[in-house]
Amino acid sequence: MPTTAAVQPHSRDRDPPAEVILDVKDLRTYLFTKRALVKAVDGVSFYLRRGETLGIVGESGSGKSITALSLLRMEPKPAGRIVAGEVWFQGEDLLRKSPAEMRRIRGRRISMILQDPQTSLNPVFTIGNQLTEAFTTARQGISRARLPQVVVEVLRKVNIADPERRVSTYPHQLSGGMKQRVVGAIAISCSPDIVIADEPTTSLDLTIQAQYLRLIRQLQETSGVGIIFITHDFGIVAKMCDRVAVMYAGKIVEHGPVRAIFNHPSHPYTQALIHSVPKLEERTERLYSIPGQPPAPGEALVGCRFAKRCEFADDRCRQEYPPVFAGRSGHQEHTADCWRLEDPTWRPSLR
Amino acid sequence: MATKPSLSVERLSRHFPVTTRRWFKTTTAVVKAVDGISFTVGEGETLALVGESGCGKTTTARLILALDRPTSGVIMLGDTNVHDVTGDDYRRYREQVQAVFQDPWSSLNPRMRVREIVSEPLVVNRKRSRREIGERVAEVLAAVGLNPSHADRFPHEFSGGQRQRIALASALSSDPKLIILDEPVSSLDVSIRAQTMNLFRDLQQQFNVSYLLIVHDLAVARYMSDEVAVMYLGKIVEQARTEALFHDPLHPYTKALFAAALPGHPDVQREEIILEGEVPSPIDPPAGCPFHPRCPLKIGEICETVVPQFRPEREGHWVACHLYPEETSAPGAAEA
Amino acid sequence: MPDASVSAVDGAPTGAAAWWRRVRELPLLPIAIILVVLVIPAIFAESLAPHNPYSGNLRARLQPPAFLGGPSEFWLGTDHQGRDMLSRIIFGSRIAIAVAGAGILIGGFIGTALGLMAGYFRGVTETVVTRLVDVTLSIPAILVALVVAAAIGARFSAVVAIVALVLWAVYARQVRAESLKWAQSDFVARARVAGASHFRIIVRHILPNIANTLIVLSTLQVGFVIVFEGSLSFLGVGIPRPNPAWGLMVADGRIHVVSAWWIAFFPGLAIMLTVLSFNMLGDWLRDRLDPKLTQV
Ligand SMILES: Nc1ncnc2c1ncn2[C@@H]1O[C@H](COP(=O)(O)OP(=O)(O)OP(=O)(O)O)[C@@H](O)[C@H]1O
Ligand SMILES: Nc1ncnc2c1ncn2[C@@H]1O[C@H](COP(=O)(O)OP(=O)(O)OP(=O)(O)O)[C@@H](O)[C@H]1O
Ligand SMILES: [Mg+2]
Ligand SMILES: [Mg+2]
Repeated sequence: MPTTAAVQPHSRDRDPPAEVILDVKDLRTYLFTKRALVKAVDGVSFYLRRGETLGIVGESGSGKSITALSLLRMEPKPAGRIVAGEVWFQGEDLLRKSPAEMRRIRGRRISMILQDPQTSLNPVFTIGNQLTEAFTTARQGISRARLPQVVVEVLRKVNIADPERRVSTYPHQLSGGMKQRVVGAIAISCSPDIVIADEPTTSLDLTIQAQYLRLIRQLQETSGVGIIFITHDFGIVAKMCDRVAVMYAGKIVEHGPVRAIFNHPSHPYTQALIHSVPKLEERTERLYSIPGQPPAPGEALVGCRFAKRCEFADDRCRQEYPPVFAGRSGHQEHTADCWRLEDPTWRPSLR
Repeated sequence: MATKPSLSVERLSRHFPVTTRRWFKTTTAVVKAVDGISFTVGEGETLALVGESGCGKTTTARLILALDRPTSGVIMLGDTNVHDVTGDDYRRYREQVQAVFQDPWSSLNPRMRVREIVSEPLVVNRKRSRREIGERVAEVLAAVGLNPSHADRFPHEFSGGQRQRIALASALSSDPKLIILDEPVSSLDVSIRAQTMNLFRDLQQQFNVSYLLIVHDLAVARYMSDEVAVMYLGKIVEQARTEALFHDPLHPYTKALFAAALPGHPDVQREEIILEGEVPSPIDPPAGCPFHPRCPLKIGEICETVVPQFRPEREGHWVACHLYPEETSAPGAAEA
Repeated sequence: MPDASVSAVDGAPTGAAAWWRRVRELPLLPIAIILVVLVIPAIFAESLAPHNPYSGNLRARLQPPAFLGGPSEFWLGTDHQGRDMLSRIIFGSRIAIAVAGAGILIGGFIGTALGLMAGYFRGVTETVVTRLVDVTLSIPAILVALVVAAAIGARFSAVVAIVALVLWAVYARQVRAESLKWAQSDFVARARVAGASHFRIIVRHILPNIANTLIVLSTLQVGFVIVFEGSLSFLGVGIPRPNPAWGLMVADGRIHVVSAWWIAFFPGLAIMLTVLSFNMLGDWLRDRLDPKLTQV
């Protein structure tokens, strides 16, 4: 990878870079369904540094959730199987761990916040019960007597008003935003190293989403947890993430620091996505509209996944998957998988 | 407003009685889902109704679509009062107002062919010949970018974006004056969303139809609409031409919404106005200004006790907030 | 309708291969049993039956089946009146079809109509229908049977009436639940916006979407009706003698069970095979037609 001058200083760029705590290499998770072989995750590599937020952005069905679940070895059964790859965490490959060892890692070292707070909380237990449960399974060495107090504290940490009273309420008595906060509280209850958040705000209202995103930021600042933020919304990436990986049809097609990607999108898909979202800040005359549709699950894919919808595709794109090229920002961590980048002067510019 | 109104809504309210049973005690309360709102939609224009979940957007749409009856207020389409039409006028109304809903998976009957779905507004209202219907179906399908051969397929053979196109084709088939779009793109993929929004805009020109666009995404409202009304707890708190509103939002709630909206670029710095708490329940809305418990710019007791008037602060820019008292506006603009 | 959804998802293979694949997926055993035990005998009863099912030869009473050493002309033996069991069973298939068909059609029609209205119009209609359903389902079916039989006597029409009276509630309950769900769907709202009448919405929009449910439900009811008709005959309020109804034959064979077990056994076997096959077919259809499952 050619290394040229670094791009503009980034307020969220940490220097020197913190250590890498999670390193995923060539992860492949296939779903062996009755109808077809779905290559949901097809050779994905990325890493996460301590205290950093990595965004994985992509459209529906691009494989974001399956990627996240695979990290914790929770790929959907019975269809899903991790067929290749390595997931390095604290010097060990998670894909080689026994199920019992994985259980000790899940929810303690790495925890997860899912999209739908409705289904992440058990409707028949009180909030307090569920948090106590989380603390007990996390074996934090907190004495039984102190538990209720700790539970109240963590609820206060996620900005739930009147936490002493809330511990005895049931999930259905809380609003969506509060439920999502409780889910967040459970996720951080064991002070994990990594939190994977799979579209945690899609079911929330705008103002509630803003509260929640601010909360995540605050928690990250105080605890230094690394966050993998899965989303389909570039706005969330712009607001929350240090680095971003753009997924399309099971592959990461572009990866880099958030400013590098926004200022110099190098893959035609990234460029098209950024230009197809209306802006709040200025009047958009006309949005770029990407022709066609994302590939259907199980569709046989050769060459570049995006070639069919790409303005710049040629025969080679349709036949051969491109190698990794340096992104156009010149930042050393910015890469993209596109044949056009072979020509160092080429820039995607959409009609 | 810029053009002559196609739809006008006046002091529209819809209150739902809700009964809760606890043991043997039954209590009846009233949900003021829509509470005295007025607006007009200009001919060939788009009015965006924005607001958070539960503020009454869908209820408003259902009232206009005559799927529900208002508690009070008037809805006029041209010269007809929507809730008092019968017979032929009723049928004409049904042709003139159509809808596209949010969920493309549940809004098309899975057991009907595209042809039947698209022609339904034609078939049920007036006698038309088979040929006439067939031609119209082909015409609107072509307009939304679908192939005439698609007419014989079933909805499950289409993707979400294509389904929204079919729903739009169906809405357009009877040559309506107004189409209500209830969150028409929010369940679509990002790359499909732009196609669909562009299509909606293009067809508005081509068919000269007005849209009432219900949406929670402010950027979408800016891209699609000519005028924006911001709703909070069943009331419209601010309304203006789109560009005016986006340049200079007046109401503290609108400002907070803008601040909460996600940025288009990591370098965008916005004023941090993060509202505390949640939208209060419409069962027991706060007295005075409904926004006062969360308002960062509350000026005092007046906010808690007096309901602010919805009035023009500037030419065509209406707001309901005590920050903009009547004295500052043009003399004579005050009304009871 | 159902094949459209299946084929579109399957995609690729066409022509003979696809046809063959679809045939192989059918539940062949239950279908074969239904054809052999029920459908073919009913259609060709006159030519298949070796004897007259109604009149016997009193000298040939209680003959064991041919394969157990009885006279070779009576394959499955004879009953206490010397009638050929095989012929009676063959003709009995017609009665089984007639009772199940008429009972399910009438009960299903009434139940579906009421269920649709209850689910679509809600309000008073719904309250009345659900109460009626509750009441109907809480009265033991046999009690209904005894009352009706006492009122109009043991006749074919009485049996059909009893079956319909018991079945409508099953249909009404299920159809109400389903149409309630569909009535709130966006496509029904869109149809109302387009100006469709209530009748059109119910018939064109809701009914086709519950057709699968009705097919599955009806298939599963066939077994119930045949067994139920059997119990009516047992109580003497079913199909009158000398009609060769299977249930009646089992009832009549009861007193000879020790000396001539075949009288009760073979009709009983016919009932069991038919009921089992229909239930298997119903389960298969349920898996196959359930829209939730076909979407995956
Ligand atoms: N349990 C499952 N069985 C079979 N296929 C599945 C299953 N879960 C997901 N898939 C398929 O795997 C692919 C990737 O799915 P995934 O859930 O990772 O997408 P995603 O990027 O998270 O999308 P979304 O934004 O909709 O959540 C899709 O094509 C999906 O259809
Ligand atoms: N039939 C009803 N009975 C009682 N309350 C109702 C009924 N319909 C709506 N409401 C209430 O009225 C309020 C407004 O609902 P509405 O569906 O119009 O909101 P909305 O703005 O469309 O929200 P969303 O963005 O979530 O769709 C809500 O508080 C809702 O609970
Ligand atoms: Mg997902
Ligand atoms: Mg709504």
